[in-house]
Amino acid sequence: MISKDQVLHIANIAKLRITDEELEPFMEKFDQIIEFVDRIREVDTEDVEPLYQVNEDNELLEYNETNQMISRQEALQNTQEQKYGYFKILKVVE
Amino acid sequence: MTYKTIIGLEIHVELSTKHKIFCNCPNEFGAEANTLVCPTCLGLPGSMPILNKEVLEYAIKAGIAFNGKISNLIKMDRKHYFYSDLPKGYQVSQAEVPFCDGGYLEIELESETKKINLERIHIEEDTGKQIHSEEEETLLDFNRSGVPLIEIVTKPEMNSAEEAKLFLDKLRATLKYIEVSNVKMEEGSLRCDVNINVVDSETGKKSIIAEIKNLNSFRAVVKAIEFEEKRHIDLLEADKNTEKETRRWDEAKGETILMRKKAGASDYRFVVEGAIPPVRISDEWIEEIKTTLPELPQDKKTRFMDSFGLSSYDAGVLTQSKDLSEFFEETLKYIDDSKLVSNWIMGDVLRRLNDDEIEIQESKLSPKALADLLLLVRDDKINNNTGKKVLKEIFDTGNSPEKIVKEKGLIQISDEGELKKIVEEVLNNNEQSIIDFKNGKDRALGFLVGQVMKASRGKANPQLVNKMLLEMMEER
Repeated sequence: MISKDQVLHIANIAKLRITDEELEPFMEKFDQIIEFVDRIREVDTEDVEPLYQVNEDNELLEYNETNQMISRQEALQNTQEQKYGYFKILKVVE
Repeated sequence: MTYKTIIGLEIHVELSTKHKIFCNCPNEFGAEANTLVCPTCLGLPGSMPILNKEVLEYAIKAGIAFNGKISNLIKMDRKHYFYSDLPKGYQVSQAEVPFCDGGYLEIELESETKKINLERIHIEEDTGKQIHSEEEETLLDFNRSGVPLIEIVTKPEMNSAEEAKLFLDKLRATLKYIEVSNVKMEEGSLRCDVNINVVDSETGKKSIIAEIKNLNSFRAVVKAIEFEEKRHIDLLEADKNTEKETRRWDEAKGETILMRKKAGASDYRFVVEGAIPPVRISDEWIEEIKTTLPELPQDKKTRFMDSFGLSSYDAGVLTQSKDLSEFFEETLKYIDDSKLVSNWIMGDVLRRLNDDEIEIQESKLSPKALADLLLLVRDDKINNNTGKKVLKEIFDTGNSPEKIVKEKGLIQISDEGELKKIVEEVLNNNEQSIIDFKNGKDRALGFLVGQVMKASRGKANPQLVNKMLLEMMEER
C-alpha cells in the first residue's frame, strides 16, 4: 500500500495541490495503477538488450542555416508580464 | 584528531558550437534578452527537438581528451523538475547511458603526479538565465535555453582545495586546447559544483556530503572548500551531522549558506526522451574525430621532456596553456637553447604575466624579441641582470632588445682594458676588503664585484670582473 506521505511527496514534486478529501481516493487509484504496471515485471527479460525505441538506426542530421527563430515580440506575446524584453515573474530566490 | 577531506567536482561546460543542441538558433553569448529563441528552445507545445551533430562531435572530442570510453549508443532522457528557468518542466539530459564513461586527468603535485578519475561525462541542455532584481521580481532570458552543455563528474578523489584548483586548471587548459568551449567562468561557460565531506582518520567517521553551488571563479572554489572543511570538522567534533544538503557560496560574506535539502535521484522521475530517437555512432566516426584533435597537454608535456630535456615540472607549466607552449616552441626557432628559454619563461616572463594578469599573447613580448634578448645574454653582450631590465622594458614598450640596449647604452663591458681602470680604483678604495679576502673571507670578493658593477653602472661582465679581481689582488 502506498502511504499518505508518499502521495503527498509526489504531489509536492509534481507541484500539485491535493485536498484532504482527495487524498484517500487518490491513494486507492495510485495502488491500482502501480499494481497494473507492476505486471510488466512478470516478463522474463534475462539476456534481452534494452530497446529504447523501435528504430535505433537513426542518422544524425546536420543543421542547415535556416532557423526557426522568432522575434522577441513573438516570444513574449503570451506572457502576462514582461520588462525590458524579459519574461517577468515573482522573485524566485530570497 | 586528523581529518581527511574528500572532494568530488561536477563541472558544466558550455560547448562553443555554432547552434544550440536541439534547434538551430545561434549559440552566442551576450545578445539582447530573448532574441535568440525559437519554439523549441522556448519549450512551446508542439515543437520538436533535433539532436545537433556538431554537439556530439564536440562532446566526443572532450571525452577522448579526458581519456574516457565513448559509447556507441547516444540516448537522451528527461529529468523532471519545476523551476522558472526550465520552460518544458524537464531538462533533456543523459541519465542511464552517458556518452562517455570513465576517463581521467592527471595533476602535478609537488612530489607526485596524481590521477583523478572521472565517473562519467554526459550531454544536456542549458537552462534559461534568471536575473533577480531588487524589486521582488525575477527576469527571464531564454537565449541560453538549449545551449549545449557537457557535465563532467569526477570521482571523489581530490583531498584539498589545492588539488581541486589544479584539477580545474588542467581541465580548463585541456578544453581550451581542443577548442570546444570558451571556458570563461565569468560568462558562465564553465561552472563548477563541489561535493565535499571530511572523514576522521582515526575513527573513520564521516560528515555528510554537502553540495556547493554558485561558485563563480576558481578562487571562490578554493575559498568555499576551505570554509566547508572547517564547517564539516566542527560538525563532526560537535557530533551534529546534518542531512545531505545543497549550499550556496556567498562571495560577499565569504561563507556557504544552506539552500535546500538535496532531492533524491528518483525525485527527478527520469524517463527516456521519446522525441529524440537514439542514435548509434560508429567506431570509425569516433576514430575520425580523434584525428582532428590537436596534440593534448599530456602528450605535449612528454614530448617537451623527451626532446628538450625539461623536468616534469617545467614541461607541465610550459604546456598548461596552448599559447604559452607555442610561444616556447616559436622562441626556440630563433635560439637553439631550450634550457635557457625555459628558465626565462618560467621565471621573469611568467612572473610579469601574473603581475599584469594577462596571457602571453596579450603581452608586448614576441618570441623573436625574447630570442634576440637571450642571444645578447648568451653571447655576453649584456649580463643577466641587465637582461632582466631589458625584458621589463620590452613588456612596457614593445621595443626590440637591440634598440633598448643601444639607446640606454647597456652593452656589457667585456674588454679588460676598459675595465682595468675601474677595478684598480675599486681595489684602491677598499684596502680592508683585500686584507679580508686574503684572510679567507670569501664574502669580501662578492663585495668587490658588487662595487665594480656599481661603478660600471651594471654594464661590466661579472665573470670577467671576478677573474680580474682575483688576478689583480694576487699581484698586490
